[in-house]
Amino acid sequence: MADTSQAPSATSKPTSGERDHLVIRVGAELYALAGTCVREIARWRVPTPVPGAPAVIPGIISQRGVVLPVVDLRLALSMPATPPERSTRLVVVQHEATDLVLLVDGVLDFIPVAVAAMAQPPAALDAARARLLTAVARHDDQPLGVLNLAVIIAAVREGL
Amino acid sequence: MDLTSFYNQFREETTENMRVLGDGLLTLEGAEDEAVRRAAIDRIFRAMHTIKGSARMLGFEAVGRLAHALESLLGELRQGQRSLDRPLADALLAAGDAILVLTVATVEGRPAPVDVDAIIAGLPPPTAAPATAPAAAAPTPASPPTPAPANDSSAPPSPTPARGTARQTVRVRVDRLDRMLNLAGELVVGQQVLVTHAEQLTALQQLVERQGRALVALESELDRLRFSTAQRHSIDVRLQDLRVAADAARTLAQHQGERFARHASQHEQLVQDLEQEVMAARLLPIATVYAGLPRTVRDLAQATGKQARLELHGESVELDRKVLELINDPLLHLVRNALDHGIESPSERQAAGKNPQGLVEVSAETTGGEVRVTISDDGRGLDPERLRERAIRLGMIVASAATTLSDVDALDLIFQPGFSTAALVTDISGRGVGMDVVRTNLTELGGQVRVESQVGQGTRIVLTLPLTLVTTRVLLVQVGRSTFAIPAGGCYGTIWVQRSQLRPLEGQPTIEIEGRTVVVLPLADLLGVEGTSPLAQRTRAPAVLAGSVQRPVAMLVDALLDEREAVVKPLGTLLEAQKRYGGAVQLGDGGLVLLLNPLLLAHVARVSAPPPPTEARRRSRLLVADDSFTTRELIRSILQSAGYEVTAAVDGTDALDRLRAQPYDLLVSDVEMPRLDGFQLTARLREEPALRDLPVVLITSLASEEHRRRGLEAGAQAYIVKSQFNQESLLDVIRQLLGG
Repeated sequence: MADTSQAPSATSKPTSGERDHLVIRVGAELYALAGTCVREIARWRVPTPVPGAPAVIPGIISQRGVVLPVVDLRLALSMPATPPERSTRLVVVQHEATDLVLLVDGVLDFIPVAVAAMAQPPAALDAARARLLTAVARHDDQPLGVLNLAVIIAAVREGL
Repeated sequence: MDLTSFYNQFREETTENMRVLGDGLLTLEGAEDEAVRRAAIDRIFRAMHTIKGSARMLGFEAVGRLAHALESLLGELRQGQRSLDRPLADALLAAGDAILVLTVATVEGRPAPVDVDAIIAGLPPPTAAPATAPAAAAPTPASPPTPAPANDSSAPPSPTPARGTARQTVRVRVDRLDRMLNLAGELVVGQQVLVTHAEQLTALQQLVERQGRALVALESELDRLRFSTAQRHSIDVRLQDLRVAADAARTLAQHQGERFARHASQHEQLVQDLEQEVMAARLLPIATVYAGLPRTVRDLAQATGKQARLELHGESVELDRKVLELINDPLLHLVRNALDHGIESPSERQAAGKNPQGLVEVSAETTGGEVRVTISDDGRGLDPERLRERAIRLGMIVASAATTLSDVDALDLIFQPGFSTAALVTDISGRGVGMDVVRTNLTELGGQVRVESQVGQGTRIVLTLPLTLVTTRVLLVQVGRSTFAIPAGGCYGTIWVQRSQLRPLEGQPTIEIEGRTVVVLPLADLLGVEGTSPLAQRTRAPAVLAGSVQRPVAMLVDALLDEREAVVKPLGTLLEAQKRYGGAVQLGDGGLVLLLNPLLLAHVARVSAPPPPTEARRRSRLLVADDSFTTRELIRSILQSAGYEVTAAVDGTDALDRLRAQPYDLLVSDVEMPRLDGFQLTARLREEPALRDLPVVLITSLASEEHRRRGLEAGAQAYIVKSQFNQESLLDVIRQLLGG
């Protein structure tokens, strides 16, 4: 119950039309990031570790002269971290004054998602994970969790 | 080189030397004693000689010519071939006045107010004894002065009109400015402490308010209880006391809190302004690095049989001295590249329907907080296809990857280490070390390099640089497999800690340094990084000294890697809570290194007095001896910006004293100096066992073969003539003599 009361807090936007989303793969699951917050997609490179930072931040990288923290989205979503592969990507995102890089297992596509097709995350979902979602949609018959960047940032901050 | 400040120096120096001329001539007219007369003539001769040398160095051709004519006359006077009569004295004084007027006009950028040739023609003709002329190299008006200003070298040295109207200036040594910048940086750190104090005051205020509320609650609680009249009275008196004290405490806490916060924010503004001003004082026009380019292009065009024209724009754009130093080499390299690889041979250009003379353009412009320097040529351009082929051949990428490589990415290949497009490795460029070094230098500065090219049309390379740099001197240390940066201002030196020296004290390993007990702590423990103590496997390990008087600490590290000036970048809002880091430092290879927070280090350890001497990296120490202030400072500044530690001596005797007092690696000396001249000085050095092997470079306006031979016979390793002076050749010679 607590899940449903938290999740929609950031979705009180007009429910019409479509919004572009970046579809990413984390583990075997698909997630979506609001296109408006995605700045850039870069190939994997080894971040500089920051001793003392939580495990969810494997380190920092320099992207176009700016130092950015890398957040391992797998760990944020309570999934095991796996070694980087060819498909591993770094997605540079921005939310308000915070810039960060999300480490994902793959970037699939940039697709429009109809606002009407976005449903509230099912109550059956693991609470910690559901908290990070604003909504659930579908992509090619697969469930697609729409990520709530504000909550992800807040969650990472809590761990600091 | 920005010569503007030297122009002003030259004007002051010339004014002084003209006074020497006037006084000397008066002495000559009045004095009977031969020794006094000799000394006076020598003094005047040297004054004129100095003017000539400096004028030639600065490219003041007319002044140099006039000074040369006067020097010849004075030379004859000195040799006794001519006696000083009234008309000669008048002519000398008039010509001296003309030199002064001419100098001031040239410095202020006005046209020459006097006709130099007419004045020279009006001077008494030289006696028929040409061999005794002190300077054999008569300046030919057709040959432009070598260290020409950045403008077209075929034009007469006409300074920009802006110079005369420039605001008043004062010369400040660069190390002073750096010290000021450091102090401003210290204030910024101090400001952070103030902010912490302000926060504490706010916390205090809240505590006092809580106390006040508790008091009110206590009062109402007591009101509900029954007491005897005496008890009630006693309680009321106590409560009243408490109330008064609580009110006073609250008022005071609130007032002080507000006042302090206001003061702190005003202070912050001032500190910021101060930092900006000091930073601005370090700005120099980019013309400083443009200066070497025209010569480079001319020489290179000659060597390669190409025709090229160099156009320079935006000379007045100002950059931090540090940035200028660091882009000097890249810029030179890029211009060389443009000519060597870009511009085609005249016949090739004609065949392509282009002007046989190629164009290399360098421009600088300020945009926001950045400076953009563009080097473009109208040559053959970079062919992405050829770049791909080459990358495959060099094994940098596989063929399949090359096909998917976009043209933009293909152009980017030129920044790969070991990539060079010249089919032949030439002397000039094409060594394949260039472009990656350019990118490395730029990245270290926090800048960027971009390349654009059209096949057959030309190439454009755009350097984006920060206007100013907040650089911090940092120590790079290795801890485990990671590298960390420690602000040099937060520590007091480095030492080797021997395992055998360790003494346990209150359960902690300590060592004795200069009679004081210092706690030894692995930096890894402080950071919470896993790893064994550096002393676990080895008998000694390096340590960085930090600490307070109460608690000095030697922080053990695995290795000391480097000490350097670095641009510190913030970690961003997400990692703000990580107080132990002050930011990150970007290395040339793009890698990041965390900078330990100086405040944190200060906590662990603050000033252990007296600080042991830091093991500074050794720079070559040079001594410059020249009696002319202008020349001395010009050479000093050239050498300093080349990274040498430079001390100046005002004449040969002074130089000898300094050389005996302290070790130097090389001497750069003028020949004509009072007391002890350059030849004598060199000869003296060769007699002293300790100084026998000191390399000596003589710089002089005496260009005759005989003088050159005398110099080399005296034991000088190199002999540079002022009229052929250029900073590159001087630096080359010095580099060679110092053994690279």
